[in-house]
Amino acid sequence: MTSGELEEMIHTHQSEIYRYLRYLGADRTVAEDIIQETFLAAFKSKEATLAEFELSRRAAWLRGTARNQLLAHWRRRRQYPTDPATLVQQMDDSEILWSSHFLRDGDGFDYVDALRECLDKLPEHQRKPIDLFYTQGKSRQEMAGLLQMTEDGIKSLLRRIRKVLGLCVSKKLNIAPAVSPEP
Amino acid sequence: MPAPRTQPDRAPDPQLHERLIDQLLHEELGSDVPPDLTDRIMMQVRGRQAVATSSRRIGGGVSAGWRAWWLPASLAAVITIAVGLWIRSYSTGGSGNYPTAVAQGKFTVVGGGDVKPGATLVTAPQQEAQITLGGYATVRIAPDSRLKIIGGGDFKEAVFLEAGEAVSQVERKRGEFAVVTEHLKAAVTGTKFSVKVAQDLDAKTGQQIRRTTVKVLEGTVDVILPGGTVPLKAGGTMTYPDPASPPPPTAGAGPTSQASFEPVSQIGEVHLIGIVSETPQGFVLTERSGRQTLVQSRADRETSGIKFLTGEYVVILRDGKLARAMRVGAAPE
Repeated sequence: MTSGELEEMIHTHQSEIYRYLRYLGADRTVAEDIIQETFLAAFKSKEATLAEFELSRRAAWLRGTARNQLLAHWRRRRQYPTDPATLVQQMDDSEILWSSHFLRDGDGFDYVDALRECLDKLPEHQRKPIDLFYTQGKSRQEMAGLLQMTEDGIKSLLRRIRKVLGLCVSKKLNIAPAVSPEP
Repeated sequence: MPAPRTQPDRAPDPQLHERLIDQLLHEELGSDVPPDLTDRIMMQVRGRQAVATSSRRIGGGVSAGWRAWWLPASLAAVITIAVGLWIRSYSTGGSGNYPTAVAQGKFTVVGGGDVKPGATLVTAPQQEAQITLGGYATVRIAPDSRLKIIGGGDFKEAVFLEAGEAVSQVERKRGEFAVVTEHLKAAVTGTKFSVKVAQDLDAKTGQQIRRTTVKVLEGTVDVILPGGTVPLKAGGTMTYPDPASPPPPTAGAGPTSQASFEPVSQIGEVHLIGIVSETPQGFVLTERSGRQTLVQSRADRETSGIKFLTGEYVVILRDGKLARAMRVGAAPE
């Protein structure tokens, strides 16, 4: 692979790999370091005469390498987000969710579009906490003060709204829902 | 090779699904925008290639006569690279690592967290702050300002000034630095200058209009506008959009501003800042002035490596073609 081909590959895939690593639980700095190592590995790998790969296979190769790098990072630090056996299972599940749900149209655009539509349809009492937390960057403590709730209450509320959004996206895309409807 | 796993009929773990939604919300509505690491990775690759070339020359199957010549030459090359790296390391504080951002004063980081690339700093009317990026660029953030760090290190630092004023001092020959606003990009390699984004009354329309003013205190600043680049020297000031004439401007206000604007397609590199939205033709960037540019056609979307989402972007066009795009914010309400 030439430097030019590598540069093109980085342009094409770095955003998805970043999003994928953040979704797996890497913080921003760790995600950036792993992206670097992943593309350097691709550059060195003979297997990764990736220019011959179709785009989706290349992306899967990069995700797999990034995932292994993240596991190695946690192993080195001995700081697993959960117990190692569960973690391996979670990693497998995460790839299933990613490839069969998020990337079902090839690039995730459908998924993001569906999420935007679902956000637009949120009622005011659910949209407000989302705006406070994600758009305005308020902490749960600040939100608790503003919404006259406890911090735990805010945590549960946000989780509930994310579940509602997840269910809405699954419905729009006609895929198996990952969450049960709220009672 | 790690095999891709697909199992479309299986319902995903609810926790994972929630985590995916959480990450997408942070990207869509917040500031967790994927970074552009191209330069950082390519720099690593070039460094490794240089070392690999030296190693191959030392050990390769060449004749004894050639080896006798190549060995000292290769060692000299390796030593030169090592000394170069040491000097660079020394000049950045001697730690061997790229200096992290350092902040002082009173400010708030939107969403909490550290002062680092991607962070947005806000100063209240009575607050003032100062950040140092890469060990060579110091930015004083005036009261009532909002500024986002968009540079990614490797001596290519940049900030996006959303509102208020930032006075920057950049050490010479240490690295690149730029202040980007909704209107322009002020790029320097060693100088002192201020950039201010403010709202005032447009004399012609009688409406409030936001403008960016660049004032150069020392050295030279390249002011990159949608239509071209204006070099501005010490003592020079320019405002865009120009209060005296509607955009695109015909001249900067600085004493050395010789603005001659070429069509976008003829200029090497053009920076656009605005809201990107999807249209039937493709992705269109709308600048604050209202000017719209088709930055990616529908046909190009399939082949281009750049996937736009709706939101605020800094877009770089090279020779009229989309070269880079960096998302700097969510779409406005």
